[in-house]
Amino acid sequence: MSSLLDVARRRRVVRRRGVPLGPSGLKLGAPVGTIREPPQPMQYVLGGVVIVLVALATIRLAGDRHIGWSAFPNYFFSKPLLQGVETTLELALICQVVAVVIGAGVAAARVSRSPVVATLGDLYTWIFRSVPLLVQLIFWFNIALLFPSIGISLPGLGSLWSVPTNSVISGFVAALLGLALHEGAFMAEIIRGGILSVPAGQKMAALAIGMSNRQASRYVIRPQVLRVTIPAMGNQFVGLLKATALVSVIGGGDLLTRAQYIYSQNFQVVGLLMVVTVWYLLLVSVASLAQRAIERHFSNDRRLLAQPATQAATPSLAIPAEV
Amino acid sequence: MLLEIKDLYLSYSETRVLRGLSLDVDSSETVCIVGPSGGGKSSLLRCLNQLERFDDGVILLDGERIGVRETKRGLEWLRPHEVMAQRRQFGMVFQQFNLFPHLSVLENVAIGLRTVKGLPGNAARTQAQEALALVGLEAKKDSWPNSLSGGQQQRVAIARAIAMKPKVMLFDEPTSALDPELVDEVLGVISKLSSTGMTMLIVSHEIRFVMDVADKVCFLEGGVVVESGSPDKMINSPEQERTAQFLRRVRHD
Repeated sequence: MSSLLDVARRRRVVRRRGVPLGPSGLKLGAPVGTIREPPQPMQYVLGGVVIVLVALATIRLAGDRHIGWSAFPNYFFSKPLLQGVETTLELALICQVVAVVIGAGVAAARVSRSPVVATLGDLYTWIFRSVPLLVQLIFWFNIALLFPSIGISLPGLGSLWSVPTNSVISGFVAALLGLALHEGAFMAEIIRGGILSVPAGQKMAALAIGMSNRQASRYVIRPQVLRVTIPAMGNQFVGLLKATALVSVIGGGDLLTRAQYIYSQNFQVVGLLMVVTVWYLLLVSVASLAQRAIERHFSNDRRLLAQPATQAATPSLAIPAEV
Repeated sequence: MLLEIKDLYLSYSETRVLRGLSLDVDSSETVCIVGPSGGGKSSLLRCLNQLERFDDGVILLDGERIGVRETKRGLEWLRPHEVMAQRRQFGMVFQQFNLFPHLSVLENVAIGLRTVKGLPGNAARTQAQEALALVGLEAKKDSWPNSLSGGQQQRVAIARAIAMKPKVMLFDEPTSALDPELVDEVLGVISKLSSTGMTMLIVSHEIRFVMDVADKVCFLEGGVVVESGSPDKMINSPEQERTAQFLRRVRHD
């Protein structure tokens, strides 16, 4: 045990060579390499206990016939489940893209100078952020009860084009609508925060060199908003990926929907739920890794670092503030 | 006169900032504005390049009325594209530099040339480089703004403004946000530009610099120009007691 501790401790040691000696003979600079962390034997005890508990739990679960491990080889890569994975990814990706577009529009509306436009933006966010996603999904799925047909009709010309709502709003389409509109409200909040984080001086500087409002947004404001909002959007996407499971209540055809359909017939409920769980773990892990990579990329970006705070100027020749 | 300001008024809700301010700037002249805080110095500059709308008065640049147009129905604000065209006649340097943090130093200067003047990328970069050379920062063209010192950032901001070849340069307390040891490099660049015959309007608290560089000094207080004249006259024989008081206090600091 002691040799193990030594190895662990030595690993933490970073030796610095060539640290200059001060007049007193003490090493100047940070002597990181020569001072060690005290040994922490409790960490090893705790680690051992956890390993034993996890091993016991694994043995117990692996031998449990109720879990139905046999579902894994039979269903993990089965066609319906792979289709479900595809649908889940489609839902998440399409909704994310649509939500960013909606969010950008709504955020722009909310910071607009026009009170009418700003109020519309507020209204959107208020409604779609307040109503639970599950309620919205069920609502969209049943929209035919409210509007039996969708079409274009002009006064005086009658109906130009019309289709029954139920033929358009499938489970998948209802899922897209519900997820995208709900997610759009959250995107709007993230983007609005991003817009507000850009200092007012940036727009002034852009206008001062002769840019139009539109050019100022495009070349100066928007790139800065993107850089601060992308990490938050990544986080939101992970949430969205999991939220797609809710569409199983309206037969959205996602991973969970397909699994439910199978276990309603063969009653391997736990086994299929385990398969689904492992799939979600995989998908969300990949998404999280990607999100973390993106986050790291943007936080390392020196352009993102805040402008150094400007010190109050007190040069000797300066005029005092109040005379 | 290149720039004429007559009876300019501006107020923010209750506060009257400019109260009938008049000021002339000749071509190639360097005019410095001094005065206590809250006297309307910055507001004046923002009115000139229409980042702010004034309430009343006349601003003429080269005889052209700035910001408004006379119609049969009376005065009317200019449309956005006309405002932009007039704004290009002015170059502005801010107290807080306001460089674009997502663009390299060269791009900070080149972006206006590309988007506003419509120059192709190469020509824009060449002209931007020339402007950077004028402020002595050609070597930093590929750096990011946040890796520069405050003084260097402000010099890039000056390059960004002069690259657009404005008729008048406006400096809004260009050294107030700088550490004392960084002030001189920025003032040096401004003096150099002044000696090349650029028309400049400078708000500054650096009285020694003002006395050195200005053709005319204006003492602005309470929204009006209390007194103006050559630096020598303002220091040695001011007509107004208020001017004398202010400059005496400043010089003895």
